[in-house]
Amino acid sequence: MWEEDEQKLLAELRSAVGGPAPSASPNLGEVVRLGRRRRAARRAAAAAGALALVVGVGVGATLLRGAAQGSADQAGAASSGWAITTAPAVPGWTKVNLPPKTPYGTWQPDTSSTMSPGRPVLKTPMCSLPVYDTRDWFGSVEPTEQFRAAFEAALRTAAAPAQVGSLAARRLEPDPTKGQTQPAHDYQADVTDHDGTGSIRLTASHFQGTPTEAADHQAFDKGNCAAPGRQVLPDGTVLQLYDVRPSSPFQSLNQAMRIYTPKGLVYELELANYGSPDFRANPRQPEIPDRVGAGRGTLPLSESQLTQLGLAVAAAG
Amino acid sequence: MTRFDGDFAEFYATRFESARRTAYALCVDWVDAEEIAQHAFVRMYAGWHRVRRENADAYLRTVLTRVFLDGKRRGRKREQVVADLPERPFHQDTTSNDERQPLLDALRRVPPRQRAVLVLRFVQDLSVEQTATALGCSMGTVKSQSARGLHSLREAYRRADAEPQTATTPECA
Repeated sequence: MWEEDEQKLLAELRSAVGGPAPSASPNLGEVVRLGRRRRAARRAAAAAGALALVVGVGVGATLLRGAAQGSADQAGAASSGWAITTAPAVPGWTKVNLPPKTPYGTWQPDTSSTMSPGRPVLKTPMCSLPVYDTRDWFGSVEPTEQFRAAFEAALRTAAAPAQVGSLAARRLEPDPTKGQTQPAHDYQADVTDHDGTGSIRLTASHFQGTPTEAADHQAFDKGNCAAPGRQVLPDGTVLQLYDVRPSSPFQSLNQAMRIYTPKGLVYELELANYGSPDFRANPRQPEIPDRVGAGRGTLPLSESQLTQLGLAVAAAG
Repeated sequence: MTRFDGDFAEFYATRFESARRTAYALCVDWVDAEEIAQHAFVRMYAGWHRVRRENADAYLRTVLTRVFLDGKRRGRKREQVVADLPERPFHQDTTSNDERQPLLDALRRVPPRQRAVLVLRFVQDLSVEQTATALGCSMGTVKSQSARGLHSLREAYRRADAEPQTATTPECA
């Protein structure tokens, strides 16, 4: 029995915790925001302590330290040495006139994922996610049944001759222990052709301001460094197309389009190079199955197909 | 982005996945593992100006373990107002049988501090000294906690084997 064999037990343990993992959603922007807040709180506490001892010296030291940090930050930003790789122009789309972000590095697969043979590692520049204190999260709006039916029909038309699976709806109840107050909704469907199965996900949210203002505000939401592509329709609807992004595990591929309607609703369509065959049930957390398959080599829809679908969403929304 | 942030971003990009996996080994829950890893990096960022690059990995291990043991992750969770949308989970194959589950269940039943020792010593393959540094305790404590942790794991596995369907409450929730 393995219980009697310590080495075997430990090997089993390493294997158990080193198994397939669901996709991660690292959020550097949030880490930086909270880290700055924590650092500021720590400094404030230190300053308050100093103030209690020597009021004048304490206040002066705090101000000087703040000024010095600000200067250092500005100097660091000005001297960054990363080069931007501009994404290729998308036919029919205009690049948004926003300055590119400075990458912190290029995409690297995590060491725990196995890359599929023959798939070169993408050298995609990676930029920090923006920091937003208040916003409605994608998934906070449940699209109407009529809208979902129109979306599914448009998806089948745009994807043809690929086979489109049924649109699977999920409603995730809020967890009060996590401070969540609203359920989240998303809708996903497999898209299968001779290259394999990928998928598409639909989510919706509200935005404030005009469609263009919201699109500008969210232009770098995907950690992209180059500005996204954009189309503005006669009724004021804004379509925003983000570049393909690699992520872990494996070298997953995603591409998103957001459709900002004059009604203040924004829809997100996100393609993935993986679908339901790439997941395995997770008995411990049924809502988060284990990702076990690398998926196909490409996204299941071309940009022109995604554009066609986005225009249909704009018409239905 | 400042140079300070750039250095940290590079560290974050290259270490997040391994930190998440370490956290998963500690709490056996992917959602909480990500939460723990994120919170550890928040603490790292706040003290990044004091971290020497050659010691950054050891510092991360220490912070990660202490975040797990402290259980102070609810502050970040309070900022979320919408139920989390996990990445692409759907069309579950419920016929699949996860052979790892009994051992993961057993690991979850090991007391947190003993579990942390087991993970650092035998999953992360750290020395007794490194483990003691990460946990802020003596090497003697690490040795005794290792022995107790292995004993707890064996006992928990025997019980899990005898009652394979017994549900457990996630430690990290």
